[in-house]
Amino acid sequence: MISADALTLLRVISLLTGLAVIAWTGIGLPMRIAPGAALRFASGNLLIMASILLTMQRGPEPSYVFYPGADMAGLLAFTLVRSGIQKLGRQAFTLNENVAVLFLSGIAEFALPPVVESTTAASVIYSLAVAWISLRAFREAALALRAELGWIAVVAIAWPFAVLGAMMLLRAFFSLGSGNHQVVAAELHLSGAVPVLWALIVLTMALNFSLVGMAFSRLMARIRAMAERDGLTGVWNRRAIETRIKGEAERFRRSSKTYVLVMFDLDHFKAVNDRLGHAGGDAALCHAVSIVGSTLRHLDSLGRFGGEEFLVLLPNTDIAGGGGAAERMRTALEANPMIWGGNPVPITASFGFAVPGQGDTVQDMLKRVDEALYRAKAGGRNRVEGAVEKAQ
Amino acid sequence: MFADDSPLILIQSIMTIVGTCALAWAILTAPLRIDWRVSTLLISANSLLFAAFWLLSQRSEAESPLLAMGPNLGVLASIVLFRIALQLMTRQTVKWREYLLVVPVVIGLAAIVSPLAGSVLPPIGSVPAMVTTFLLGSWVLLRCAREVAKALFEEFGILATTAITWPFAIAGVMLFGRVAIFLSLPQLFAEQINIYGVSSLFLWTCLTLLLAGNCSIVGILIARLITQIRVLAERDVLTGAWNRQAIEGHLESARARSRRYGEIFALVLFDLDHFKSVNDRLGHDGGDAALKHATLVVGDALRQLDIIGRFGGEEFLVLLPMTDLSGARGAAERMRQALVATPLIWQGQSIPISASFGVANTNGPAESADSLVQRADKALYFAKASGRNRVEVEDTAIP
Repeated sequence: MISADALTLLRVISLLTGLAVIAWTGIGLPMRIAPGAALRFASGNLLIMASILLTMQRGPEPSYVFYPGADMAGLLAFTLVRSGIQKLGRQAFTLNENVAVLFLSGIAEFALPPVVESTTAASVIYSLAVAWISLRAFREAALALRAELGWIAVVAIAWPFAVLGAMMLLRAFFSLGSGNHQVVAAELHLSGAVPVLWALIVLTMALNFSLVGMAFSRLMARIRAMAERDGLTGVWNRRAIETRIKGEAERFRRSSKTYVLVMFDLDHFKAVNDRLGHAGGDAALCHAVSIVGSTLRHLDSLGRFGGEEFLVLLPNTDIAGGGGAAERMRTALEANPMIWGGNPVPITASFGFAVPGQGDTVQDMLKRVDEALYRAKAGGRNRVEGAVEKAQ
Repeated sequence: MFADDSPLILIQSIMTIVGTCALAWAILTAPLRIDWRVSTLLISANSLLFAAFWLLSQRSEAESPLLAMGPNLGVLASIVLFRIALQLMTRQTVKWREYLLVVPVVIGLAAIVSPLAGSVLPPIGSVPAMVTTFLLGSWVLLRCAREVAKALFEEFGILATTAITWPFAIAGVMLFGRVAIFLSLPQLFAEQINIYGVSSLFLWTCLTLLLAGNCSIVGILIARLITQIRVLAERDVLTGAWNRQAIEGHLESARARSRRYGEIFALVLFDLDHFKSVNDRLGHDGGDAALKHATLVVGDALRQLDIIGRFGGEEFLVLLPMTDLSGARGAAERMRQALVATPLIWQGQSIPISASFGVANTNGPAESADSLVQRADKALYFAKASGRNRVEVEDTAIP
């Protein structure tokens, strides 16, 4: 029925997808990397293998397994791979859409008589469904990759899904035009099998490399987030907030766009720590971050400077606005005590703020807010002090 | 059944696969920020394989030294490139001298052994040359498998190490086995031979191992990312000591061991003296340098199994397993003296750095980690109160 060469290529594809199943299972289970996505990619590869093997069994006798069954296994495979991509990109699982695509194409496929004469019509349905799934998957992958790594990464990593979608659209178009099932080149059981199988080998590899790229970029994004965030409170860490202040200082130097730096320190933190234990102290830090964070605008940055000391960077803000913002943070903290073991524990902080003067370095700015903060502490705590204007 | 597959189709499949791999590494280098040396090596290795198998596919009845030797040499060169790439990936030194030593030995060995099996075979060409390249390839692959396994084992355990290393080890064994079969059973070898000089079974093995090898390389790259994530999650960014969460985790497991096996342990909590004034005098960068300095100096005074973590600000916690109170006091005294003896050098100036130490050991299985740390903190407070730069032990501090 099929040529010896086609059989050899079929074995190569089985080996390829089989190894991919093992590799993705290994990544998902023992290595515990994105297990949800990795296991979907593993089962996707398994179903692609099944779909190709079933398609190769097509013959003159009617069969629901070899005709519509093989196509549906392929569609299910692509749906699984797409949902794995959604998982990697932290996107919502499109259950309704998946069910609709599978259900509609399933009805259409199974309505056709399961014989070789139906393959033209079936190939239009199958190609359109695969084109839809892979183009949607490409869009979702592109959204996730662009946010993490930029446009170059989208092109370099996600392209196989766009190419697959385009190829399938073309295939549907030519199948519609031909009307004769013998002319449809991309039918695996006919004499055209060998070139199609070669294409499938390359495509399977390209898709799997693309998925590896996506999993990789997910890990890289995690590393970047971890390198810039404070482990306990989740706000920027010292290095990251200093980088942001430097950027703002540079903008000020070039365009005189003024900004305000606020430093605050929780009052009597040592006592809170001693009274509630280290876990209570940690909870107080997280509490302060969430309360102060809720008073900020989207473009403001909050970072932990060390211990119980925090920095807030307010871009495009003048001295009056900065003082007002610091006062809002202070009153918000005062108004919202922390709840610990069912009891309210008052948490307050002292605030110092400063606007940059000409020629101020980041170190100068830090020194001035620190001095202002010191005066707030010395003046009785739970208060806001502005830095003295720099002497001209 | 696999032995009946057409060798030409298999050779072309291998070319397709290594060609796609070469392209994939080229495309993924920039977005995944793979070290350009590593990716150049991976691309060249896969391209060399492509060329080698193309030459193999061109073999015919006519004798041609290029077609006879080209494939073997190409595969050997690509094996060496793969090994160097893996050495770079696992941060090992590339050992060039090894090749200078081994190549003559293997060539000599082949020259002695191979006349036993006839010296020229039509599609393969010179037998000594074939034996040499196969033995060299086998040796490089086995060394490579060993290096990768050593690099991964400690952190990732036996399962992941085996899963990643097996293609290199099996490939090495297979090349050696091929030479062994060739030399010991030339009859069997001659029956399997075809115009390409390689059986379909051998090509299937190559195909599988090449695919698995490229998967392994992906695995090693992922393993490196995981290492980075672990370091970020468990280490203090500034000093490289364990961070607060990690040292608390170590403390918990020490308590568990003490409950289960009665293993004793002690804690030393220390705090740099007058850190605020160091910070004010030298700026934040100077303060950071003082923290790094203290971590290094104190770390040098510790044993291999002791664990130092930054507890917050300028406060550090040292966990001393299998140490009683007097041992811990001695250790803390050594740390204190090491700090006093080694001032911080900051912008050419020598800045004295000292610390106060509080020591406590576990009070029995019922005591919580928090209470243990609090007792060490009390001793530390007492050390601060009685003049700094000294060691206090918890039970002597509290009457």
